[in-house]
Amino acid sequence: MIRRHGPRLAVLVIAAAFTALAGLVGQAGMAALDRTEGWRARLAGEMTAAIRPSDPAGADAETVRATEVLAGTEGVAEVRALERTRVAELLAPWTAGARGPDLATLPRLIAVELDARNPARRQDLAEALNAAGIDAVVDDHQGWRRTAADFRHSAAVGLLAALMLCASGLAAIGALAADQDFALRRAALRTRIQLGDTPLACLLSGVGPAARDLAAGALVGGLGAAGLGVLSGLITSGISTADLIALTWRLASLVAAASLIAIVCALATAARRIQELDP
Amino acid sequence: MDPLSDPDLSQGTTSALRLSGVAAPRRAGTSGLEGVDLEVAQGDFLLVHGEAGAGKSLLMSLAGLAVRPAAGRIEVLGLNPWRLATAGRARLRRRMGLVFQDLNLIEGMTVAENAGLPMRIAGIRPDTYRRDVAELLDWMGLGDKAGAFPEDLDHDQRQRLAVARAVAGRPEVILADEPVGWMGPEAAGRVLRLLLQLNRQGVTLVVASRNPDLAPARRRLALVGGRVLPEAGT
Repeated sequence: MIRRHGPRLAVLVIAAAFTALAGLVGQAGMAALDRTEGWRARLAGEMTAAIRPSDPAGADAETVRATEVLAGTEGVAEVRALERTRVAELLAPWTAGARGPDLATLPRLIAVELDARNPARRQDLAEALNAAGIDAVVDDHQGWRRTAADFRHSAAVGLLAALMLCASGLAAIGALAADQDFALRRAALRTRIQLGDTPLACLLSGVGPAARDLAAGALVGGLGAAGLGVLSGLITSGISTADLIALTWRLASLVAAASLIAIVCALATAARRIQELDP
Repeated sequence: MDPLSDPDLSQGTTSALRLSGVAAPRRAGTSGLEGVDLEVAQGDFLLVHGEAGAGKSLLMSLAGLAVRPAAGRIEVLGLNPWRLATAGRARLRRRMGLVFQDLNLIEGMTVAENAGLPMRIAGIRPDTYRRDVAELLDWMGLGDKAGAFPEDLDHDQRQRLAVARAVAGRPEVILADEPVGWMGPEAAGRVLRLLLQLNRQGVTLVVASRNPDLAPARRRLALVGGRVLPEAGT
């Protein structure tokens, strides 16, 4: 066997750092995407009816009537009138300028949860309220859903960019490791080629140590990212067995992907270099 | 008379090595080669001699497929190596044993691993050839160095190891560039006897040396300033 030409700690550490970074970015990005998707799904499954009471004194009664009308509309699963204080909180950003707003003059909000199988349309709810003589505006959350979709898109692009950066780093360290290996083994590889070894055999034997270092680095980085993920999960909401299984799966995928990127680049670099040895 | 210039002798013989109009650019401190025509029949023994820098090593590198010619055509064992695919060229190289002037030992391998490298490259299991390599190293006076690394050897021993590696794979053609240049008379005699023995068994032998009387070759060619001057056979 060919003796090793010194430690390759730098390759291992850099591969570990990029893999850990990819793991952390991946976990944070996936969490952001999951949350945004949850938000968007909740917004899509609900509408909000804003009741504008004609007489502040009869606002409560009108709200109750609107709730009953909405509950009886086809495609509605559940209706929930918001407390006046909660409405004040929700509308605070728009009423902050008004000192001590009279809660009675504020519109009353009713959250309408739609039937998932046969959801009511915004027009259905608006028409039902109008038919009952209630002055109301129904918001189907289009604006918020668009905002959520935009945020999700931005998060996905950001995640992709960060992962691409990590992948580029892994690719670069793979190529660098192969280049370094090649420089150390150039004479030996040239001799092997001249003795009749094929470039492929030289490639596989020559790139082995670099591949091992890169894979070990990816494993260390993946374990580091997983450890931090578990720690953050324990601190925030606890970790279930299902979470651990999902994490293990993601860890294995991450390490495999990181190793693959680095090793493919190492192989490509080594192949190019070895090709140069056969005149 | 040069046997190859005699039609009766050249007819029916298959050439182990044929160079036609081969040219190669000069390298540091040596002449380039110009229009080299050379044919070595299978089983022949050719000694190429010339002064330092005459182009002997370049000629051996061309014949050993370590350098691609700038012009002309090379055939080894009837095949044009530079028309073959990479794998085919590798197979052809395995049919040759090379002693490089700079030895080209692999420093990270032991003496036994270096000697057994041609077999390993040919895909033979180490168990199969380990004993043969040990015997060969014994014969070369390197038996006690089998586990050492080339850096632990002196130049004489390194050169013997290079010859051992060249002959270990039972090649059909041996190209040896100054194979005994650093050896003492006893070791040199031993190595030359081995090469001659292999040649008698049918192995084609091409040796390059500054010494025109290095060995009793059947053919001798002088190389001067990158050009081949044919000489009469001995």
